[in-house]
Amino acid sequence: MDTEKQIESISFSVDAGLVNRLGKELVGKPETALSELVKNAYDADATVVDVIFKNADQIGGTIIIDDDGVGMDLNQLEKGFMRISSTDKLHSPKSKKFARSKAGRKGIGRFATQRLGQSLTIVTQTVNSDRAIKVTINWNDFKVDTDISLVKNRLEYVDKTKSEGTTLIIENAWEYWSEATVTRVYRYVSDLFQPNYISKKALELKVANKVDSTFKVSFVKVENGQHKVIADPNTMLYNKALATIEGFIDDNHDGYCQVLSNSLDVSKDIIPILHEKQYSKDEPKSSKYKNLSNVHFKAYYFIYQRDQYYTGITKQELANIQKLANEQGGIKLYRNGFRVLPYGESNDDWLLMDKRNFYDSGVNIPFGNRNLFGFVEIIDQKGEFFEETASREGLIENDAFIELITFLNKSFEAAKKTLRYGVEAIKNKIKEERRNHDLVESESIQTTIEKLFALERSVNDILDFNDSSAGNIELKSSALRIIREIKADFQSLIDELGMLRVLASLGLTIGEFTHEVIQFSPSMMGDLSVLDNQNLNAEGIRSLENLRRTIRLFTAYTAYFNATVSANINRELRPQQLTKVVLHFKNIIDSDIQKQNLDFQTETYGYELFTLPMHSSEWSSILFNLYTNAKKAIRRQGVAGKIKVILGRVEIGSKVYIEFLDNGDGIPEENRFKVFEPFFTTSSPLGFEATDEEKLGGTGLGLKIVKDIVQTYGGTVEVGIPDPDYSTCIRIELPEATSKDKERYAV
Amino acid sequence: MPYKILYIDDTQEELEKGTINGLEQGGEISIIFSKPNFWETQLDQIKSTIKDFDAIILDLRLNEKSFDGGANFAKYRGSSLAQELRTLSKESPTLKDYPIILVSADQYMEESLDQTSHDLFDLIIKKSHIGIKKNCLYPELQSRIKWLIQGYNNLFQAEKTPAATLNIENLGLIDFRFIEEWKTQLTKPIHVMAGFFTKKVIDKPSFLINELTLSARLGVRLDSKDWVVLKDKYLIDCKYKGIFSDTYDRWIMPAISQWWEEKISNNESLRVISSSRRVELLKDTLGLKSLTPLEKQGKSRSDSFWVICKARGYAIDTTDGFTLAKQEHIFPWQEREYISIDEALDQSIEENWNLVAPIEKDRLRSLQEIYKKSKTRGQK
Amino acid sequence: MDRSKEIATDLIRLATVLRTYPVCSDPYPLDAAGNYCLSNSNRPHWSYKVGKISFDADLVNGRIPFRCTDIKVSLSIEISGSRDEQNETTINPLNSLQFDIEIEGRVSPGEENDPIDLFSSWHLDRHIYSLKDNAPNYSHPLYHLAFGGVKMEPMEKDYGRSIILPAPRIIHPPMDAVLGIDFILQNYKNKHSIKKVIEDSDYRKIVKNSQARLWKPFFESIYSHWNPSGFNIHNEFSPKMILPFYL
Repeated sequence: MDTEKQIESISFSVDAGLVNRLGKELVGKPETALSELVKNAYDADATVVDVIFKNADQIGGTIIIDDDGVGMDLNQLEKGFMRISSTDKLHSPKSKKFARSKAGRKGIGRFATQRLGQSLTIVTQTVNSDRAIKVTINWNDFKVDTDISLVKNRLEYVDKTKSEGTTLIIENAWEYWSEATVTRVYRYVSDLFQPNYISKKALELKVANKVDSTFKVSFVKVENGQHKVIADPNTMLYNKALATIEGFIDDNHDGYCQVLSNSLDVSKDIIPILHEKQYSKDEPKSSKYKNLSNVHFKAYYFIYQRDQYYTGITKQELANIQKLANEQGGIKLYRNGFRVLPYGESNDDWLLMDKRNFYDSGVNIPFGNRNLFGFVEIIDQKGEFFEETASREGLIENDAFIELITFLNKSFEAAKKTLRYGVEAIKNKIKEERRNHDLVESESIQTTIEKLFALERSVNDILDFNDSSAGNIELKSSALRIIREIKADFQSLIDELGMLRVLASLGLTIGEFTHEVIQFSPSMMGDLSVLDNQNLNAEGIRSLENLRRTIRLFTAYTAYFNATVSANINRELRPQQLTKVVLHFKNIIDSDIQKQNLDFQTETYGYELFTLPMHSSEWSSILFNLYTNAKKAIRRQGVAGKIKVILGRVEIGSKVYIEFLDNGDGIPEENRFKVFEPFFTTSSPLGFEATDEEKLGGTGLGLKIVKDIVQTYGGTVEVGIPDPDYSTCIRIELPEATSKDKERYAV
Repeated sequence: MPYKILYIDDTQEELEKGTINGLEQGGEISIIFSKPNFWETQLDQIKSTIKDFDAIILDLRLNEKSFDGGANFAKYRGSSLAQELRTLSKESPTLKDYPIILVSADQYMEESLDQTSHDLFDLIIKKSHIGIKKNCLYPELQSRIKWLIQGYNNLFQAEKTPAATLNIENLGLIDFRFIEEWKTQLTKPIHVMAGFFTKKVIDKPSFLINELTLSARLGVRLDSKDWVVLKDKYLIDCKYKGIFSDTYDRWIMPAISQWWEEKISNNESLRVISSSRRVELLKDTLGLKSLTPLEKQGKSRSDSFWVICKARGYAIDTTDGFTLAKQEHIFPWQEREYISIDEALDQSIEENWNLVAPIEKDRLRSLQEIYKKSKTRGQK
Repeated sequence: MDRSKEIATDLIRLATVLRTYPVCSDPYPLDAAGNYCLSNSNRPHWSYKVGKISFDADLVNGRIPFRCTDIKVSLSIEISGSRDEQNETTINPLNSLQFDIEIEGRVSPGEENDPIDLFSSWHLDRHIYSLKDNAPNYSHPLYHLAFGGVKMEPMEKDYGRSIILPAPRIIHPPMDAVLGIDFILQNYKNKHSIKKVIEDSDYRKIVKNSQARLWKPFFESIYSHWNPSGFNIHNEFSPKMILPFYL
């Protein structure tokens, strides 16, 4: 032992066991891990990703993730994959080829593989390389008490299996993979989907590289040599369409279209689409499209928020497709195998479908761009019919182009007609069913408690009838325990209801009072106005000013209550525009803000932030409760008060949000959820010295009421993360009004 | 001689006294207060004394409290009484017609009244606004009521012709359709004429414009030192001097256009040139030195100002504005009201400005799209 | 009917048509012009001014910059002409014409930058020949359409890398407010938006009237170059003044 060796510097080393720990801690569920790997492939500009499960319905199976992205060369492998916590994504936030915003989380990729199975084999090749690189990693080699740099992973060069791309082979999977789990992974990555509609025929005609970014994932199970698709765009999107609309123009310039549906009862007949154009004065109207041939289109049609029209789709799946449609919906145009921009992009309406949809009333058959995923393909090899514009964005609107638009619009009109019958039929059927269902419901007149007793008896009976095996007894006792819990919950609900009733009648009394008070206001202001014009001494002027200010505060408060009470009388539901709601509230509490010297700010991110239809008076309750709490917190903290309201939109899930922030004494982490419970208050028991405000404050119901209101509308409320300079943030999210809601209420 | 006004309300505890004090101060108005009575009695009372009054103020809900401290309630609302009074005026045209003002404690009074009821009143005020809201302070109210009374008197005495009532030298300047319409109005009872004129010609932009609009069209800032000279001296001939012309200044737009052509510039069109050019020309031809040109506000593109943003009160060009909804059926001689782009994007006033005309909705959406980056929130 | 009245009536009827169909958010300037024209019965000429009547342009492919939006096309016009019906001689239908089309737009150059204002303009001018003109420096057809003009000159506006010259002056038949509005509708709005308007029989009648008043004499003069004896053209409206290129 040479204890006096000359050591001049010392570096950190890493224990190999860290890899295993990081894997388990960073990546939670296996579904998350697998979806991360798919996202990595997306970030590598892949257009097709195949995920294959071999013998994976037991532990120890194999998962293969094969993509056609840009692959890695030795340098990229070393500096990227093999370097833990690499900065690659920091340096290039967008992908090289297609400029995609990166979907994967920084540096997770390798741990995702470790999370899934014991060993990993990577085979990767770039377009410029002669050979492919193959690396084999066994995660069990990364033992605790081993320096990570000592763990060697075998690297060899093999023949390329394709031009570019990466294949990950994960063996000895830790878990088994059911079809339901795999389908879930598909859903996690489904919003990366970018359809590629190019047909085989067109692919054969193409010469250059693909310029259009497309992306699809397929999850396939292989068992005994049999391939079975579990989830891919066909099964998860196209096959779920309410209907498909397909049409073409043949060599004779005649146009046809057909509507097919598994869910609706529609005619399968092929519909001729007649042009009806008079090409010159002497000719009669022609049914042909003289400037078009070899045109093919297909569209997958969806109606949202009506999962009952479909066979084999859930509400959630339909909602996901609706979200996807915002980016990927529309009819894309392909010419000779190339995508022609900007037709079919998310903000493009080249067929004027959104415009027409907007003006059409009776939208049983909504037919905007977002209801269709589709394409039209034209084969025009000699370029005789279509021409691109000088700026290379779009085609010149010559006769052929106009005929194309005409053909598509006529086909869609015909499809709409056909679909209308089918939808009407289903609607009537649903109406019938609902009527019958309602009839059944109204027959029962038992109270909830009686029903619970009945349930308890039934459970007892059923389980007594069967044998008294140990398993059965356990089942019975857990069932009875659940029923007891329900009874207890129900009882406490009744208690809360009782308290709310008391508060409600108090509120009504206040309403009466404030209505009367309005009568006082013009009178007081009248005399004040007279005093204004008198010759008062300095004292008198001071007093008058004070009186005026006090009366203003008084009238402002009562005006606020008056407004709230009047609004309550109107029980109508309307979409509420958040900016307006907050503006209204701010105007009302303006005098109070001045008096308390509060810094009150509003920030708005987004336009037209409408909630689903709600009672306007409930907003007064929500805001007033939050405001009162904020003021108390500020007072406890003893600072110059700041309040901020932030409004915005949550893109995912179509929600709008409002955040209410203050710089008061904050909410401790452990109370994050408790504050919304009834009667929760942190105020310690009050002694004689307590001020009146302290005695009156804190019924403990304020936030509970807010939560109740918000949840009734399908929203959420939680303690959020405050901006710098603020200590508390309450965040409320509510569903956004649909365009139909907005139309109906004319907002 | 102060104007006498009858005020009918079912207030308790003599609450009306403060209001009366406020209105009577200065000595130009004198209020006679009365609680409502039974229908017939009330009508008789008014009919017999009306020649002494110049105006009537009514509360909407006369039927809520008893009027004699006992069990007697009026069974009608202020609007029904007004309706009856107007009908009586129609039937006896020699009987004086007078302004009727409605007050109410109702929050949603205006919404609950239908259009025909609206037409009965010359002025509608919420009790919660009196003495508190900027345009409802007592001095303001007094001015407005006096203005109405004077206008009614002038109308009553004037010859019922456009020339006599409008007092405009060259009537040919005014849109012939207005003249036709006004001739028809002049055959109706005075309160109908007055209502038409005050609500459609004075209170809304038409061939008569207010000072703010005048400043926008001339491109001159109101706080320019020579603004007063410009409007009071040089534009004296363009000022409106007909009925209802006292208290609220108005200028005759076609006269302004003509004055511009004749006195300032014959080949540079006022409408099209920028505000700085307008001010340059005004300075050169009139010799005024202290005129400052208006500047573009917010997201405006153009400085050829023409109208005022109804919400924010600053000048904009029509191409930088959004027409408001509910203006599809205005008269051809009435101008449309606008709000600025900034207001359309970020509503700052509580009234329903967010209802831009349906034809403008697509345009609003495309602007929201283009300005949406300023609405993205940074990462927390 | 007196020409002045005919023209005024057409303007007013056009304003009514524009109010019926959703193509123009504020037709008031047209109403005001119609009224003005009507009231000037004493003067020797008919004349009117349309302040600035604006239309929203539909977004088309091929616009530069590609992402520009909120495009307003406005027409301002000052015009006057003779009131007499000339039957024997073909004369210049107009005494004066100032016809400006202003195009205002907006574009967001990138995610981080503020939107910038865009501007361009066309004008249709009547070249005023003074007696001193022997041969003008550049050929000026009597009525010509030119891009740019006074409104585009101020330095603050940025035209990217475009270069804008007063040339070419493209010969174009004279336009009044009616034809100007038709020009804008047909060139700046897509067929779907204006279909109902241009099929409206009132609209067609009004446009036809203006074409007869303004384009008939114009084309008569042009054609008379090839058939001088068939027409009687006033020498201040000769074909060579209209089309200096005629040889």
